Amino acid sequence: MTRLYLVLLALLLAGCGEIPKDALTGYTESFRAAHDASDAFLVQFGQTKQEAESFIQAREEPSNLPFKPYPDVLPAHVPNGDAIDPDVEAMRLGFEVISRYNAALVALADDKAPEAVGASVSGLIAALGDFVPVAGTVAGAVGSFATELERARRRGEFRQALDSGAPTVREILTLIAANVETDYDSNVKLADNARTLIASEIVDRVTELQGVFSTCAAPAGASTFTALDDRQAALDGVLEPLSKELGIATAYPYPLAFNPAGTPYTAESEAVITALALKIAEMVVQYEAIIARVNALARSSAAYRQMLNVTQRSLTALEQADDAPPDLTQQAAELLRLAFLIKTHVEEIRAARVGA
Amino acid sequence: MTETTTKAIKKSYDEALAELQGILFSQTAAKAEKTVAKAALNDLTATMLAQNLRTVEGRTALLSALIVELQQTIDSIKVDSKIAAVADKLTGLVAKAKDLFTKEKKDLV
Repeated sequence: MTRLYLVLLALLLAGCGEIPKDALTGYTESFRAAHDASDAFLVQFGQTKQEAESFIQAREEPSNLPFKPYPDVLPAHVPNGDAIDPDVEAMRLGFEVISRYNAALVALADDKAPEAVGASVSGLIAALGDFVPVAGTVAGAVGSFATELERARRRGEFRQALDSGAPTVREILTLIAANVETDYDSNVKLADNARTLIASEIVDRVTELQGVFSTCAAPAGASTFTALDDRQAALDGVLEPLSKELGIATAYPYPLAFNPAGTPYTAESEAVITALALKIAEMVVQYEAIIARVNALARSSAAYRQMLNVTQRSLTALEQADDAPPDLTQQAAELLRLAFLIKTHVEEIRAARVGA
Repeated sequence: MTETTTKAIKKSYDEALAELQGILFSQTAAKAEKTVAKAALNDLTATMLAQNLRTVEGRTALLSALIVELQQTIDSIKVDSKIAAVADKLTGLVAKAKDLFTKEKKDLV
């Protein structure tokens, strides 16, 4: 009879709801994917911050001061080249603490742990049996009861841990996602600056090139010099990537024309023109590398932010989980796709950085 | 920062950039004019970057507080069962008592 009561009680406790393990797996796996992808983002973030700080510092220092390759006064602190940036470190710690929190949730959801508690209690009852006569079945029943009690305790503990921890996890992920956006914005601002300055230099060189042509008369008769049409076509082709820039769009294509009243076109003129054309082509490559890098960053940052969003959605699913397990197939496919996108674009960013 | 402020900043930035590009991409602007435009562009970029750095700094302070908060939550989670710990301890004591009892019994006999 005692055993029957224990079993009924156990069934009642079991009916109080289960820990939503599928939703928990969905959430922890989403987070794991985002955490794995975070290294590339944190490195990228640190580099952008350094670039931004150097840029600001360069603006603050008067340009007419002599170059200082070493500190001219003894530094107050020993510089630590390996010191981790505090913003990067805070995000890294944010991921770490969420990992520990998730590990605690997973431990609470562990099926074997309540059975181990039951086994411990059964062991105690059995050991006591040597002193006090106890029926063998009772030891097992008390063990089952202890197992169910432990399950119920864990369910309660899980719910409480979720209620108190999930909002904090969500806020941490929201702040990191906001940093992804700010990092991208800083890259855009740096790229806008570099792109504008290099495009300006290109326009100046093109003006110079037009100037050289306009001071020369067309070579008379057959010559070994490159034909004007070929020069024009080459210039138009090279400048095509810039042709949509405001101000350049109206001037493009930049016409090259000889001056009938100009000086004779010589080998020296040809050499100057070739050198200018080469310089323009080199600068356009740099201009394109800036654009390629930011475009790759846009794709990887968007994919990474989406990964953080998927994690937040799966956390919400875990909080709201009922008997119906969420469809994890779609989520797994999305995470795989995003992880692949990030990996591909990180390679592109690296390649563009080398090219820039 | 509100969405309206962010949009307003973006609009001002875009307008300023367009203005400066108008000078920098011009074939007729004087060299001095371009030099001033370049300096203004660098100032504009530096201002925007400084704003971003400050924003991240503020988030880092919030993030640090949230990390402490979540750590406290973790510390309060009771993963291990006290019942199991007590049962294991008592089982050990009972086993020890049983050995002593058996020994006593043998000595008495």
